[in-house]
Amino acid sequence: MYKKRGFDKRYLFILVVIAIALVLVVLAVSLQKDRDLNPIEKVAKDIGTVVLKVVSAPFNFVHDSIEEMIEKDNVYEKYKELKNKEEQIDSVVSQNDNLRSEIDKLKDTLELNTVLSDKVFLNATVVSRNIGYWYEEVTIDKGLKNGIEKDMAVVTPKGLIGKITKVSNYSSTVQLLSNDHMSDKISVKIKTKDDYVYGLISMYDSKTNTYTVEGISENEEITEGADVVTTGMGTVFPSGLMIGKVKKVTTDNFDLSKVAEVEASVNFDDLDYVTVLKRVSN
Amino acid sequence: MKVIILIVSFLLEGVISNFVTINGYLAPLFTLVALIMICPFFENSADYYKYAFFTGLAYDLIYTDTIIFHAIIFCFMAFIIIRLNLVLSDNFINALIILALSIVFYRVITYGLLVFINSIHFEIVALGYSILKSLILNLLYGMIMFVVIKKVPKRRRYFD
Repeated sequence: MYKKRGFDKRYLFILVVIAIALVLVVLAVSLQKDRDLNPIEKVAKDIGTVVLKVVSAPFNFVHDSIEEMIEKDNVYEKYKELKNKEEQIDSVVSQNDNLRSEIDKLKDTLELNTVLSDKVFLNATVVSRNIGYWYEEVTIDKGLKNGIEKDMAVVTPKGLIGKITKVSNYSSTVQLLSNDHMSDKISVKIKTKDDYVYGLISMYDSKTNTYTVEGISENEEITEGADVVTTGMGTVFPSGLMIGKVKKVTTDNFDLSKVAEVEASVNFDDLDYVTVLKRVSN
Repeated sequence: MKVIILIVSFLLEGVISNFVTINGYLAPLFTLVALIMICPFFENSADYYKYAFFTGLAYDLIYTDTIIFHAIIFCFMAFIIIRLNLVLSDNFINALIILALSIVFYRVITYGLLVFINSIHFEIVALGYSILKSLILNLLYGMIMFVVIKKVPKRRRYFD
């Protein structure tokens, strides 16, 4: 098939060195966090998203039909569960209205236009997941034209999953919290009896689906099963987004602060539909 | 034929990625598998490098946020695949050996480069695990593709 030709090994060595150098430079530049997509990339991603949506449609239809069939088996149990919840819903709604009016009053008193938990919701469908394996990303079918911007938080009904890192006109890339660089140093608070204690997420373990939260004061009492939510400090994540529940509490190597192992509320393997949150700004 | 195999595998990789779990036991690399399987259909290696480059470029633009990274990596993979094809004859077992070796090379190279630029932390277990999960699904896809390709008349295989 291929003709063997004499090739000077010195040239081959030089070529390999140049290729490696080029790849490293290209990779370092393209993986920069603050890099925006260029117009060619935006057009290619938009076309790719539309094509993938069309190609995926029959597969998704079959997948959804199978899921629907499985769910139909448990329909009576679900009905009973919902019936119980329905009885509680009136009190929850009135409680919610009450809290909302209290927040509004406090905002007026303090002359605040927004609070950390104010956000706008945009629903999106996941078009492709984690291609290339190492990047821990998903692509969604909403982009600039739908009002999505870089650094918006992305959630599922169960909690926070990541943030928008790249945006084209009709699609966006979401970097997941399971990525090493993403989960690093997110400010979170853990519910205690009557208050919250603060800490920072330092890492995520994909094998156990847990985060490690460090920097928690030694004097605070934390119970297993306590809710962990975002604090809203920083510019990306609004406050009150569910992260997970405390699984285990230990102390750090120097016995100076507590370290909590937090089980993620989200299953990163099951992301079909997501919601993008836009923090309301002044 | 070659173009159809590449396009179908490219799109299928995107579709299947939605149905396999992120931290599960399967990782589709169908585009790379297609590139490996179509190698024997090229009479001219320069054409094969062109296919590898443009496939990698499409991979960069549509599936990842990298710029020409996969285009270069796929060209390098094409170099390895051509060399392996020179050593091993074109039969079922050898095709799977080439496939397995190429996937291992691909994983090690991309992982090594990402560790080198400090994009991910080095963890030998993670690398081994990623290789293992890449092999399971892609060897199966390679087997199916080998059988399908063999059913296509020889003269058609060499057409674009």
